[in-house]
Amino acid sequence: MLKKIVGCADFNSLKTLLLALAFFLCVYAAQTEPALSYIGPGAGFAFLSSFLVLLLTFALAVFYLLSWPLRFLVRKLFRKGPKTKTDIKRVIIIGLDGMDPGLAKGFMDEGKLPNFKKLSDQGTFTKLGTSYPSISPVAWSSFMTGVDPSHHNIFDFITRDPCTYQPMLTSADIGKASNVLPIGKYMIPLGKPKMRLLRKSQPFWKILGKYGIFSSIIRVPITFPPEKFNGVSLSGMCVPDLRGSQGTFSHYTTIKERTNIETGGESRFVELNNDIIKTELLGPENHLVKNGGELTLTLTIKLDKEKAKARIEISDESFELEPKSYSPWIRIAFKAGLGIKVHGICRFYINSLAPDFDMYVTPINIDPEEPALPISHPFIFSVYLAKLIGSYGTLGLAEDTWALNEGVIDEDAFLKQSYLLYEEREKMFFNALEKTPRGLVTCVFDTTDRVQHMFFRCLDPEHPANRGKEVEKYKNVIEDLYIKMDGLIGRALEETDDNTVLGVISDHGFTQFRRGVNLNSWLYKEGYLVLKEGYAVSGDWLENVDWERTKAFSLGLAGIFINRKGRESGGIVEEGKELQTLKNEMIEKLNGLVDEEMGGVSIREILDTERAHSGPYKYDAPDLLIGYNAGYRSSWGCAVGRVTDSVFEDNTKHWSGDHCVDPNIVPGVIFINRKISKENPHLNDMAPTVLDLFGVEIPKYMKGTPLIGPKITDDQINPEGTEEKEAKAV
Amino acid sequence: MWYLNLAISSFFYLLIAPFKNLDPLWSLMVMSLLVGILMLVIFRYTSNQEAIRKTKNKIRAYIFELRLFKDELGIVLSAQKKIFSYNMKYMSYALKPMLFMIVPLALILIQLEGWYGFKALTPEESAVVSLKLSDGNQEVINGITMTASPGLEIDSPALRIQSEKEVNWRIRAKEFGSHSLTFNVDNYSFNREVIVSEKGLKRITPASFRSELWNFLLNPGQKAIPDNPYVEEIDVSYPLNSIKVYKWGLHWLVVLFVLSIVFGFALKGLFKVEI
Repeated sequence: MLKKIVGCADFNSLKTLLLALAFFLCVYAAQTEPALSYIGPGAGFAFLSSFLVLLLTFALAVFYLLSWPLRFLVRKLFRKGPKTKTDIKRVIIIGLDGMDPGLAKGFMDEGKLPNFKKLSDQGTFTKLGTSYPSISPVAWSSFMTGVDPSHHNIFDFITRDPCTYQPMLTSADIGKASNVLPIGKYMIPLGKPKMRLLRKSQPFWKILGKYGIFSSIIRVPITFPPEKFNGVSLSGMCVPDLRGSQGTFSHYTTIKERTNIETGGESRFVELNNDIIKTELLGPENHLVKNGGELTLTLTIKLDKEKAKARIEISDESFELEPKSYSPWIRIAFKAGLGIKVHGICRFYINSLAPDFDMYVTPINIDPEEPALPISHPFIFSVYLAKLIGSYGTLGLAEDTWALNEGVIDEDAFLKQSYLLYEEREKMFFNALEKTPRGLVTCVFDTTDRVQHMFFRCLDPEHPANRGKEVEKYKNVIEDLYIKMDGLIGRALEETDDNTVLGVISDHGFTQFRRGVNLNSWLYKEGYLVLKEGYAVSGDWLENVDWERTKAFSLGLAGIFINRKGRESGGIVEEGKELQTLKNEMIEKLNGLVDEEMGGVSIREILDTERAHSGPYKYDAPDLLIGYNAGYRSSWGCAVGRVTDSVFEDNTKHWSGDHCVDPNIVPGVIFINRKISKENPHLNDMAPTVLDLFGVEIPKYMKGTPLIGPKITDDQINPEGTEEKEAKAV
Repeated sequence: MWYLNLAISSFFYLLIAPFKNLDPLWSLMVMSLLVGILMLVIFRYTSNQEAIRKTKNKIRAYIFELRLFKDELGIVLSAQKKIFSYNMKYMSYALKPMLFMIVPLALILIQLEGWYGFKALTPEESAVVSLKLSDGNQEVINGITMTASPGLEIDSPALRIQSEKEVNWRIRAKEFGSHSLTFNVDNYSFNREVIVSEKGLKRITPASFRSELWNFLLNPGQKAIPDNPYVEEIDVSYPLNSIKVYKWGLHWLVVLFVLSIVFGFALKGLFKVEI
């Protein structure tokens, strides 16, 4: 450019001249009076921050170093000490959600999981009893508290609001700030939004903390909102997206027929105008403004068909994206007013560019760098991780199973997304290992659960979900998944020493989900659920139910609620004899319920919650917990409180594997580099086990018992009677 | 060179003119704002913004680490080490934009030095005038004379220092205005402007040079001493200026440094610059 302007043949001479001038000016500036040696804010920009950072870190380091003896003394004086001395320095628990013992054993026998085998050889590999019902939020709550659901209050993902019969999250109650100051159109919140963790009891790392043991807890389900304890935690399953849902994706397409989305997201028909699409991305509701509606961001997509890519402009970001690849996490900010912004992150994925344009946007996750809600303890921990490893998915159910179910993305896109999330989690996990040389590290990986949910059909050629879908191409997806996890375990094993206990557990196993059972339809047919006059079916969330004549209903995956007088707002079933008679009657009818079309038993057992549990929270739980047979589960319609015209239906969705069945069918796994003493270990045993490993007294309320006894050294082992000796030692 | 010089000086004159009769702090604030913006723009387009962002994120992460894992001495020390190493990396990323900033900044500072560096003489205030020669010829030195226009008074006889190739006079300001000193050297005659003023911002040039380049750099807006075999430089020792901020008198450069950085940091979001 410069060459053109000056029209100079000898451009190099000009360049040399300019360089010489610059050099001369530097020398000149350096040699003249101090006033002239200043080279301006350039130097300020460059060095001021660095200087301040060095000063700050130096001050912090000096403070922490100097205060360390004092803090050590305070800890010694005021914190409880472990009851027994132990040589265990660190316990690592890797949670592989949904890892199935049968599949794991099969792959191990085939030699495909050498690291799991190694871990098993070092200690133990066996089934791990799961919770009743065997659903992740329930099971992980039992894992962390050491108690059954009637003591921790989590029986399902959702429950009904007894006042309205409408669904509500079981794990957290998130509301607006209780006091607001109305100024004109603005509603200024006078305080933080109301947030309450509904899980009861306490996680065992909180107990460890009281004894001065530090814990790093990464993405364990039902840890939102985060609780205070001695350590760091990043919340997992049940963290909402920015819109307050459990994940609402966005879809933009020029194909009208593809906008028909049932659940999980919103689809928009868009039109191309000179290869440009102008549309908007829906954000959260604006609570700052009276009747503010949903916040939106303008989204502009400029197609470059020749280069087969698109330029996407949103918020202050502009980036190029090729079809069939995910954008990095894009940071966006919704302007609520008064200078307040709500920050989120999302990824973009173009399914097709031309002739038809089709794009998927992930649910807008809470931005970990500027979280709209606290998602970690301490608050800065999520910010710290984002600064260290880059943005990461924060949504509880981050792998977008509904986008695949609805056909908005294909299997490849789903797998890519799942493994991108997995990589983020892996980085967090190994960072936690590095930063926790003493104490507890627990990290839960959801990839195993989500991928199995969506690809279990590929293990069963007769699965109804295979109709019209690729099977052959994805037949090894689950095997590859287990092999990938084996790699993770291998790297984790490298981080262990003799004083480290490494355990790999899953909250439940997996089985096929071929047929859905609509309990609401069954209740309707049997006369326990009554619809308003003129209706033979209902919409979502128990629409059209006549509560004055309804005795029982189902919502969620766990079981049946009785419309109990005094508990439900429109309850009609009296406590006592009437209630018990009704329950007995239903148990009798449902037990062994036959799916006549397929000729199989759909329900293996029914649990009367009141009789089976003793905890203080059983009163609000589903009254009957359903133990489905393998291949069956609560139907999609039943889970959202719908009454349909048939009780049984084929499950044709990608979500083809499940575990919401009789827990005896889907135990979890435990691999641990120690011999365990208990014959049938259970998730409830994990909390007492870890407490015991650190020599901490096990609270009496815990239901489980420690799995690991005193370590047996080689010289104690009698080759003739090893097992007997181990048993004695235990 | 003269025309370039004139163009730059006129540009600065236009910028400062609206503030000439105000306290110099006001115009310096505007200059600092403009300098801050210019530096932001240069920084944005000459630096590796992505690398700077990532490096800064790492530094912040390790600062958080000091707080999060404060009870683990090993982690605290390791975080310190990493902060230091990323700081070095960060500074290395800032070197390139700094090099690009040097040329325009030097030109700006030279201009601003003329406006803010010195004060005009006030009536009854004296100053030393120095005439520097390229040759220490005794005969030439002895023949040098200086006359002052009305409004200035020559306070002392010429002090001729042959070893320094220099002749000095002390002058005293008598009246407000732009006055002139005339120097006669051999058959050559040179004029030098002397400004006597009390209020308002004036561009003061203490030195003028025969060398076009030096004159361009140190005497912006003024013509160089006409070509001659004797005189190299004529200096007038104007008093140094200071900018009054609250009750302190600060060097203008200090004010510019602080304000331009403040403006730079304040506007970095608007200009989307990662500093």
